[in-house]
Amino acid sequence: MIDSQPVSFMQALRLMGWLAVRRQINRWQSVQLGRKKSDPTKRTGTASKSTGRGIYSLFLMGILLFNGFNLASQGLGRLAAFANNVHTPANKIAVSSYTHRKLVEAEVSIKQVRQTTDIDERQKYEGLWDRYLDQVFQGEVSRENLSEDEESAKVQRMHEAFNQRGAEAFSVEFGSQLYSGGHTWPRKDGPALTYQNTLGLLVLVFVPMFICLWLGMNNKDLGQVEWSFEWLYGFPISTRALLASRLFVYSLFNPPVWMFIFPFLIMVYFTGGSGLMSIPLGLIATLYLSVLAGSVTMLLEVLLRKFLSLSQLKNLQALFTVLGTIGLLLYLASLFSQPLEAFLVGYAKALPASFAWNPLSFYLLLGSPTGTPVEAMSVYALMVMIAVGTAALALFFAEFLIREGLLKSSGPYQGVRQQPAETSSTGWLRGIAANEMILLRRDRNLLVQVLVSPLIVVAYYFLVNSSMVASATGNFHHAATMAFVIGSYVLMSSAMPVLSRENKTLWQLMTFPREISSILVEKTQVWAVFALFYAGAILLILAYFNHHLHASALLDAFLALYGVGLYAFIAAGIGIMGTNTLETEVRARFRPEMVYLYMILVAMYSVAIYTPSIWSKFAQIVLSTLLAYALWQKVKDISPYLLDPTEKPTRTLSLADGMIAALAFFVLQGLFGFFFSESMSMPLAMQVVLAYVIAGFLVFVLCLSIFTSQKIPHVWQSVGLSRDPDNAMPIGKVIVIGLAYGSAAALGAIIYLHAIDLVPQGHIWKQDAEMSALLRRADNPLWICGLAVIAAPLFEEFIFRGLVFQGLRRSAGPFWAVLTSAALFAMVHPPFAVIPVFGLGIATALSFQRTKFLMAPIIAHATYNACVIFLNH
Amino acid sequence: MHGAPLVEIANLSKVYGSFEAVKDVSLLVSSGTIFALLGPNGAGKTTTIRMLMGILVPTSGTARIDGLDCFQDRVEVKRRVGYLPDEPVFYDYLRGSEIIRFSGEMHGLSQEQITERTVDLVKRLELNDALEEFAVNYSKGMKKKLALVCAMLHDPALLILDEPTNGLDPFATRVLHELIREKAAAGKTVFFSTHLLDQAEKLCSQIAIVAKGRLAAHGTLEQLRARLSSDSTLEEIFFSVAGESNSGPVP
Repeated sequence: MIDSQPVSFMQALRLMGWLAVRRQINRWQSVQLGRKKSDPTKRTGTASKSTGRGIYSLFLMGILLFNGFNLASQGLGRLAAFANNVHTPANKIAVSSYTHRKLVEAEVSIKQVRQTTDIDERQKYEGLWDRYLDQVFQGEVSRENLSEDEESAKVQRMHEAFNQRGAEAFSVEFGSQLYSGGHTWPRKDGPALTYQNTLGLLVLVFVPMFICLWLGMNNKDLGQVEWSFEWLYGFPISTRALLASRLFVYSLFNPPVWMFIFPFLIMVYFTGGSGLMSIPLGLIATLYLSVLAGSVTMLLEVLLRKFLSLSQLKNLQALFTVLGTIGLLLYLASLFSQPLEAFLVGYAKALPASFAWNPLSFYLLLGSPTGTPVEAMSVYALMVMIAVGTAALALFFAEFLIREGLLKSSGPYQGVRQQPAETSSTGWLRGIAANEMILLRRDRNLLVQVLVSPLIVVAYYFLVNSSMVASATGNFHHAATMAFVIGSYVLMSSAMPVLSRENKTLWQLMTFPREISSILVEKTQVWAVFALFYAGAILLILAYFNHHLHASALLDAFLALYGVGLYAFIAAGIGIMGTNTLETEVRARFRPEMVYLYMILVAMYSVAIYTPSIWSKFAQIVLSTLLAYALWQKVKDISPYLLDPTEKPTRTLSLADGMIAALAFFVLQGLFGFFFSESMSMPLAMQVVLAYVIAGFLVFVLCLSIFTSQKIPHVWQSVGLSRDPDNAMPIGKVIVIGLAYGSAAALGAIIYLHAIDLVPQGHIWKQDAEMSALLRRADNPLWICGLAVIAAPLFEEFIFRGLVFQGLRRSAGPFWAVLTSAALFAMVHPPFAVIPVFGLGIATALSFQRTKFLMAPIIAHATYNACVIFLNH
Repeated sequence: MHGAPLVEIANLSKVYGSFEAVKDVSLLVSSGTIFALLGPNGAGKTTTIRMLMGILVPTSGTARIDGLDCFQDRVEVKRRVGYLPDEPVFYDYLRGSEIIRFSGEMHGLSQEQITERTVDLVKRLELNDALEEFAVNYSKGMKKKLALVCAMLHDPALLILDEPTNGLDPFATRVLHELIREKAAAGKTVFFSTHLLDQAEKLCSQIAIVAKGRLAAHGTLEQLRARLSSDSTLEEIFFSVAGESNSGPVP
C-alpha cells in the first residue's frame, strides 16, 4: 500500500527550483572572507553562515557590473560613431585626453616663460619644459604598439608639431572620451541599419558562448563518476519534470553570464533612448537568450552523457572551455578594440536589413528608436514562440534519448576494464615534481588551462591587433612584457590553485614527514620552472625575429624571467591564503576575488618592464619580492592548521602588517594632500606637513588598535614602543646609541653629496630633484624643517623599523631584515636620496636591533635629518 | 614485548565552541600492543586520531608519540607513524602503483625499497590487478587496501588505523587481522578505532571505550571484566559502559 502522493509536473518543477535556489544561497553564504575560522558552534568543518562578509562579495559584484556598463558604454559609443562615419581630423595628431590636458597646460606655462626678459632664466626654464614635454610624449607613444625606431620618430614629430602650432596640433583621441547616451543609436536610416546589424553580429556569439561555458570545465558535475542527475533520477518524478527543472536551473542560475551580458543589453537599449525601460527590456532579452542556451545545454548534457565515456567527456569539456573562452574574449574585444570594431561595422554594412530578424539577434529591435509598435509586438510574440518552442523541442528530444535508460554504462569501470595505454614512468623526476607532472599530463582540463589557454590569449591579441606583430618583434619592451604576461597567465591556472587542487587529498600530504608549507613550496617551484620555460621560449622566439636588439633587451629579459619566477610564488601565496580547505563544494573553495588581485599585481609588474627609469624597475622588483615573502610568511604560519576547523596560529607581527601600514601611510598622505589642496587655501608646505602628520598619526593609531584587538601578545613591546622589563637598556645608553648611529649615517650622506659631484650623471640628478621641487612650488622652509626633524622620524621609524623590520626579523633573521627594511625605506624616498637614505635605514635598523626600543632609531633619524638640512642651507 | 609507553595522551580535549568533541581523555599505549579504541558513532574516535596525527590541534591537554608532541613535532612524529583514514580519497588521475610510489618517495624510500616492500603486501591483499587502474575508479574496499599499503610502506613503529575493516570483504579482513598480529609480534604497535566489538575482542590486548567525547573505560579485557565483576563478553561490557552515557530505549 503506497502512502505517498504522486508528484505533479508543476510541483516537481517548484521543488527542483527551490533546491537550486537553496544550493546557490548556501554556496554564497559559505564563501568566507579570509582564513577566519567559522564560529565554532558546529562540530565539523561545515562553513557557517557568514555575517557581514557577504558585503565584500556584493561589492565585488558591484564593481563587475559597473565595469560591464562602462565597457559597454564606450564600446557602443564607438560603434555608433563608426556607423556614423566619424573620423579624426587628418591634420591633427591623436592623443589621449590626459595628454591633451597636459599639453594645453604646458602651452600656457611656456607662453609665460617666453615673456621673461632674463635670457639665462628663460633658457633654463625652456630646457626644463622641453624635458617635461619629452616625458609626456614618451608616455603617449609607449601606449601604442610601435617599434623603438617608430617611437622616436613619432616623438620627434610631436615635438615639431607642438613647436609650430602648440596644443592646437593635437586632438583628443577618437574614442577615449566617448560615452553613450540616449541618443547614441543613429537616427538616420543608413547608419541606423549599420548599427543594428553590427550589434546583431556581435550578439551572435552569446548563445554559443553560454553553452560552451556551461558545459565546460566549470561544470564539475558532468565529468564525475557520480552524476547528480542520476541521484535525482531515482525519485518518482516524471522524466519530463526532471529535465524541465534542469533546463530551468541552467537558464536562471548562472551569475557570471548575467554579469557580462545583462549590463551590455541594458546599455544597448539605453542608447536607443529607452531610458529606464532599458532594464526590463534587458532582462527580457537576457532571459530569452538564457532559455535558448539552457535548452540546448540540457539536451547536450544528456546526449553527451549517454554516448561518450568519461574520459572522452573530459576531453570534450576542455574543448568547450576553450571555445567558450574564445567567444567571451571576442565579445570583450569588440567593445574596446578599434580595429575589430571597424571590421564589424564594415562587414555589417554589407548585410541586408533582413539579417536583423535572425533568431539570435532580433530582440535588439526592441531598442531601435525608429521601430514601430507593430514591429515591437511581433518581436515579443516571436521571442515567446521561439523560447517556448526551443525548450519544448529540447525536452522532447532529451526524453526520447533517455527512454531506453539514462546511461550507456555505469559504475566506476564504465562497463569495461580499460587497458592502460601508457606506462607510468616519470623519468628522472621524483616525489612532488613527478606527481605534479603526471597529473598535468593526465588531467585534460588542467592541461588545456595551463598550456593552451595562454596561447589562445596570445593568438587572440595578434588577430585583433595586427600591429602587435610589428611591435612585439620591433620593440623588446613589448616582447618582454608579453613573455611575462603569458608566463603569469600560465601560473594563474597552475600555481594559484596549488592548494585548492588538493581538495580531499590533503590528508595524505599530512601523513608525510614534511612540513606542509615545504611541500607547497616545492609544488610552486615545479610550476615556476614550468612557466619559466614557457616565458623563455617566447622570449627566444621574439628575440629571433627582432632586428634591433639593444643591450637594454637583456635587462628586459631578466626582468621578465625574474618576474615569472617570482610571480609563481605570489600566485601560489595568494591562492593558498584564499583557499578554504575545509570547504567541500568545489566552486566555493577558492575565492575568485583573488584572481583579480593577482591580475592587478601582474599589471603593476609589467609597468616596471616598460618604465625607462631604472630606479622604478628596481623599486618594483624589491616590492614584489617583499610581497611574495610576506605572503609566504603567512602561509607558513597557517599551514599546520589547514585542516582544523577552529584553531588558528597565534597572531604575531608579520611583514605583511608592515607593508600594509606603509601602503596605508602613503595612500592616506596622498588623500589628505589632495583633500587639502582642493578644499582649503593653505600654503603648500603647510598642506604637505598636515597631510603627513595626520596620515602618520592615523596609521599609528589604527595599527595599534587592530593589533590589540587581534590579541598579538606583548603588542607594545613587539613594535618597540616599550622595553622588555627584564632586559631594559638604560635610557641614556639608548640616546647615545641613537645619536651615534645617526651621525654615522649623516657622515655617509655628506660623503655621498660630495662624491655625487664627481660623477657626470650627478648634475642631472640634482637638476631633476630641483625640477620636481620647482613643479611643486614648495616654499616656506621652516615648516619643512619641522616636518623633517620631528614628524618624519616618528612615523617612519614606527612603520619601517617597528613593523617592517620586526615582522621580517622573526622569519628571515636580523641580517636580511636590516638590509630589506632599509631597501624598502630607501625606495620610498626620491631617487636622488636613495643611497644615503639606504645607509640611514641600515643605521636605524642596527640601532633598533641593539636597543630594542624605538627611541634609538627615532633619534638617529632626527640627527640625520637635522645634519642634512643644516648642510643644505 | 610490552615496553615503555609509545603513545601518551594526557587530558586531551578538543572543543568547538560549546561542543566538546573530546573531553579529558587520558590513555597510555605501550609499544608492542594492539590497542582498540571503541565507541559509538560520534564518540570522538576520529577526532582523537586526527589529533594524534597533528591534523587537528588540541584545545587543551597533550598527545605524545615516542615522547614527541604530536602537533609541535609533527614532522618527526610522522616518520614513526603510518596512518589509515576512515575514507581515503586519492588523486583522480593517479594509478594505484603511482600513489604507492609517491607515498614511498615522500617517506624517503628508494625505488628498490618500495618495490621490495610492496610486492608481498599487494599480493596478500589481492590488489595486483587493480594497481594499474586509476584510483578514482576503485571501489571503497580497494581504496582502503591501497591506503593500508601506503601506511605500512615505511615500516612505522606505530600504525594508526581508523575503522580499518570498514568496507573490506571477509578475505581482506582476515588478511588485515593477520597483518596486525604480525606487526605486534614484531614489536610494532597498532592503534585502531572500531565499532566492531568481536573484532576488538579477538585481536586486542588493550581496549579503551569512549562515548560522547569522554573515556568510559580503559584496560585489558580481563581488567574490564573485573570492573563489572562478571564474565561478560565485550559486547555486554560495551553496552553497560557506553550505554550509561547514551540515553534512549534499548532495542
